Amino acid sequence: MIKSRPSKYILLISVLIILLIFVSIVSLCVGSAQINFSNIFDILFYQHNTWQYSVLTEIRLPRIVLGFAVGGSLGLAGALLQGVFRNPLVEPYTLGISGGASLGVSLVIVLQLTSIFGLFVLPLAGFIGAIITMFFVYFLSAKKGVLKINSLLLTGVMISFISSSLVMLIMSIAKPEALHSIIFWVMGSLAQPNNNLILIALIVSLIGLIISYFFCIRLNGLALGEDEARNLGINTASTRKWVFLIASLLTGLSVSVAGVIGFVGLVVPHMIRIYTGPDHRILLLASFLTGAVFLIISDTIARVIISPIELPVGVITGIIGGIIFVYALNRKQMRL
Amino acid sequence: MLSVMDINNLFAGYGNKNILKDINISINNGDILGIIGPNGSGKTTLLKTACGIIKPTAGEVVIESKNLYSLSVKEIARKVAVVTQSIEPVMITVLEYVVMGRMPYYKKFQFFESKEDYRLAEKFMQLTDTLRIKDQYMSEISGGERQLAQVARALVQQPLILLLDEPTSHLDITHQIKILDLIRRLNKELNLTVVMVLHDLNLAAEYCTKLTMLKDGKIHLTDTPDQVLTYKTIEDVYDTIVIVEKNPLSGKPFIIPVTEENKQLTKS
Repeated sequence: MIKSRPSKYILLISVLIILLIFVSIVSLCVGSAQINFSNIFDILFYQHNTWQYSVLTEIRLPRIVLGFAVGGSLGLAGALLQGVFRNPLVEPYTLGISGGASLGVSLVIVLQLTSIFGLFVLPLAGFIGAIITMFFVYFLSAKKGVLKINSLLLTGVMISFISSSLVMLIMSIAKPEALHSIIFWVMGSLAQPNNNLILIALIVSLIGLIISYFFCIRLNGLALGEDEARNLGINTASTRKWVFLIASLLTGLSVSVAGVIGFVGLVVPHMIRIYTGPDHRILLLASFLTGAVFLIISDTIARVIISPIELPVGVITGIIGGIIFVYALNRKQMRL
Repeated sequence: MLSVMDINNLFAGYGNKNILKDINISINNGDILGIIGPNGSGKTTLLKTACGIIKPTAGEVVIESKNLYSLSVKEIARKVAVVTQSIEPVMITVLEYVVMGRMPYYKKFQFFESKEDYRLAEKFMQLTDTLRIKDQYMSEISGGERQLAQVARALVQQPLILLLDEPTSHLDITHQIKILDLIRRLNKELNLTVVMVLHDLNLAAEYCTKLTMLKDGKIHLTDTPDQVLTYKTIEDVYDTIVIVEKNPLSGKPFIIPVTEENKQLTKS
């Protein structure tokens, strides 16, 4: 067993980065259009006018970049939320944030606001929906500035339920063409056609990662409990607020560009914690990288499993994640 | 005598309800002050107010001639260390936990502990007899060991004053004596000022240099153990009949409970 913490952490991060590169290359190679691995570099650097080059840079590469940004954001948001609420079941999905976002998007689609404001209004609506739900959940479960974790989870689950019912209501009265867009959103997909949005998602996710590191020591203190953290000189109320805000922004962003992709934020930090313990100095970065790897793998599976038909990636993460969720529920060591 | 902490005309509680009313205590350098009183008399509230977790509605706590509530949470943590009744059983090693006591001293962008932090942690773990379990997880050690690790963590904060909330509850007699012996040894060797909430009056009599007895959120009496622990005050505050004898070894008061069946015998 490796004793020293820094060397253990460097090892983990190195393994994750190698894995990320490997998974990205595999994802680049597979798809309905057969492109051989041995030709990839040749195509990427020398054959700019071939159709293979277009497939790689215009279809597969943006998806991988988006998978990195969204998977990373969701993994990080999950690690932040679980850390700050000291509960392994908290994540953007269980807190109802994803539900709020899909409600916002469904409303925009069915009201045909895109024809007035342009396509950009879709991610904006998802983002606003996520943020509104977050504040709603936060203030409903905060009593005099103190968040009660049980009421937070219950409020989240209920809001999630209400918004999914409303989405179904909208779907049942929507026109067939609107229905398709809504389903795309509710199930989550990395097929985002707008490259500018992908770039924004990438930048914001990396900024979120950097900012969250200002809170890693305080999150470590919070793991010991509210009073214990206060006694170690941690301003718990302000830490809660800021971390909740960062997680909301990351989730809102992810949902707005890729729709609802459940369980990444739940499963990833949980698996990492088994190896690292509740040390957020490593947990945050490792969750980000693992989230990215997990989502790129899931998206690759979604693309090729019944090729040429493409499954929504949320279906794959939901199945894998749901199984691990049940496993986590039954684990003895439920507490962080 | 040098005063370490002064609590002046303090009113505090939860929400708008005051639990503590007009509390005045002066804690001197080298004191072991015991806070005793019946359940619900405000002992833990007093401790939480003295470490800044609860803000008072009136009055002040003065430490090093500064008002405690004008200090940041971090500054308070460098002056006041607290051992709570229980902590979350987290999956971190005892050494990792103890070294977290250095958090109040971290610089703004410091992510890792320094060598000096580890040196201090090991020094105090030696003193508290926790060095031998340094690689075990906090979630897997016994309650008594966890309490000792908490004391080590508190010492690593290098505080002016150490507060303990019922350090002996949930512990068997071996660990009760072990932890209180340790507190007294730290008090003598490091000249550490200690305030602790205690339920057990005999342990309070034995280990504290001064006792504050609370009743309904007010101070009934603050004095040496033999002045505070008389059958009269105990009957007044706890509404219970006891016999107070002298401990043959220490000469400190020793309280013997009187059961209902034996009440007749005390009259004669």
